[in-house]
Amino acid sequence: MSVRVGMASFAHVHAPAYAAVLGNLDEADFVGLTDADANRGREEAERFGVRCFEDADSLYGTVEAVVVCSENKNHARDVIPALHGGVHVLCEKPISTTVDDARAIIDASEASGSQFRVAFPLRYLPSIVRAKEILRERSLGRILAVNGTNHGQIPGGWFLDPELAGGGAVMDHTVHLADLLRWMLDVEIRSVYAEIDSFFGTADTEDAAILTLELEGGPFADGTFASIDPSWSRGEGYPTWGDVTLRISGTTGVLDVDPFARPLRTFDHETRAPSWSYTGEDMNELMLADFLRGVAEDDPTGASGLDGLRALEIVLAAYASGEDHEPKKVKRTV
Amino acid sequence: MGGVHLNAYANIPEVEVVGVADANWESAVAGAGMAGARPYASYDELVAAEEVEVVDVCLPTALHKDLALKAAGEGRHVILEKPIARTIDDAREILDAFSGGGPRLFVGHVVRFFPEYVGIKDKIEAGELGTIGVVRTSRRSPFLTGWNDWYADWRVSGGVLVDLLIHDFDFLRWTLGNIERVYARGVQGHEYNRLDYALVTLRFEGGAIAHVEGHWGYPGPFNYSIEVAGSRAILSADSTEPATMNLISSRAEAPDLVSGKSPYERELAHFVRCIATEEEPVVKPDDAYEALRISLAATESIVKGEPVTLGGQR
Repeated sequence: MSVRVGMASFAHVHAPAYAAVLGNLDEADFVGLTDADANRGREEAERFGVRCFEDADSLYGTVEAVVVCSENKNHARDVIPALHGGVHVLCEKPISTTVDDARAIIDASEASGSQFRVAFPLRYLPSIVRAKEILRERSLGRILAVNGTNHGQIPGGWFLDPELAGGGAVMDHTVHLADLLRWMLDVEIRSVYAEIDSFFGTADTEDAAILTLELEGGPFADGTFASIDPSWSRGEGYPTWGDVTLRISGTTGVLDVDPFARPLRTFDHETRAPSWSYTGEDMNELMLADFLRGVAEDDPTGASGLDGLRALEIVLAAYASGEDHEPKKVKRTV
Repeated sequence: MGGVHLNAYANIPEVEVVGVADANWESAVAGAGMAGARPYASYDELVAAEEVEVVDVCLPTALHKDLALKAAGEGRHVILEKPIARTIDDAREILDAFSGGGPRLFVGHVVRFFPEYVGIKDKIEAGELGTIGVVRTSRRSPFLTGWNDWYADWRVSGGVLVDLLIHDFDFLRWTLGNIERVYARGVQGHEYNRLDYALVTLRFEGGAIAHVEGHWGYPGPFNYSIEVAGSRAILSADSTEPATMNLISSRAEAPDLVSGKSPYERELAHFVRCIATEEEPVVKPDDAYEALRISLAATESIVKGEPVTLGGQR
């Protein structure tokens, strides 16, 4: 059984990858897309062989589910009408740039009964899933700390506009690892300390940070701590897009998780450049299939709106800490 | 560490080890045997019986001060294993004892003698990496067993921050300059036996940010890594990568695969040359003092749950 699905906006760089998956997925009947940038909408619709809808309303009147990939600031604008129109939504991370927007999205989902999910695809990587099991099996003894990275290259376009993106590297990358910490260790984040700066070439946003998080609750890691390095410290010529790594240290064992490890390493004699390519499972495909199954079976899985909000609150605490160099308690809204 | 130093001295022809003192007589005998020297039950007996110009001190950290001050008072040069002391007051007294232009002090911050770390510093200073942004380091070691299990006594060793991560703190300060602010989290204060772990964030006066991981009681072999991300280039080194030789054999023992001189031999040969020539050492006493200040600031940060401002050099 396949779900009639559309895409709203191709502003985010992940949109083409999602579209390619939707075109091939048994669970999906990829109907069409819409984009506030009409030219981009037409080009992408042609490229993926789907219908280009003139506006969001007409798309939402046709599909059962939609994947929203607009600029971070515009998520609420694009998500809320879909939910009220009875369309289930998978939204690119972060959920929004403000707590108010996130709250409004969650309220709209509850009021309408339409599913709302946040795109945290790392949850679907086999090594991450297995790592979560290893923690459940208590194979590391008592957890001491988690040392995590989500490095990348400096993106372009609106990602560098703090108004549209809600920030720079901290907003873009922290949410992934914050979500993994919460999900894998079954914790909340009590407080955050952050050193934030710009070194690698951004003008209006930060491109470097080190965050230290205090973990709270759950059976494994209450009172322990974690660090996240979300820096865009990989330059333009770096052999790959970046990394995601988690080092979980325990009293009797240490687990290093590097889901994109052991790439194919290519050296191009003409460009004199190395490149590394990943050949493992497609996390986007696993995530989108899971979202559509949840829609078809009326049984949502994956990251919820509340998960998205919790990740955003951690980012906002990090920005506050970066301002005055004090650890900040994470304000968890109800 | 005493054994490591004796092995290194065996390759430095300018040095004659005349005696080895240890409160544990068997250790004194074993050490003296390695060096072809005489064993002594105490420092006092050693210096009473032998003509000693230089004292190499590999005592537990909290005992550094008394012996360093005694040797300085007797006019002897001292090579002191890192960290310089357990407390900042002890460190200050040691500096003062060697500040009179007489006997000299050399503190064994051996990472400054690892060729790969020297190479990293050279590249940074040559501008090959551009402006330094984020540095990440990790240093992990099985728990060490010393005399009276002194590493496990936090009051004597200071734990992973004072004994192990001081290597990275010293290297980073040597390479990137003084540190403005330190924030650290660690398991200090939890009742773990023979185990310590910390994550430290350093903010340098020059702007760079460093993230330093330390694990004492790591359940695998000793290892370290460093990554330096600059505006122009990024570099990394990792001791878990295959070395110049790897021997897999059911028939032979792995030989010592370190090619050339060990960092300890480079370090001690350098100190000995400084004594002979009055050359300035690569590690000045003030550097050892500043490295300890960083370790203690990180310790204070863990206790207080707040960042600690170092505010440059004292």
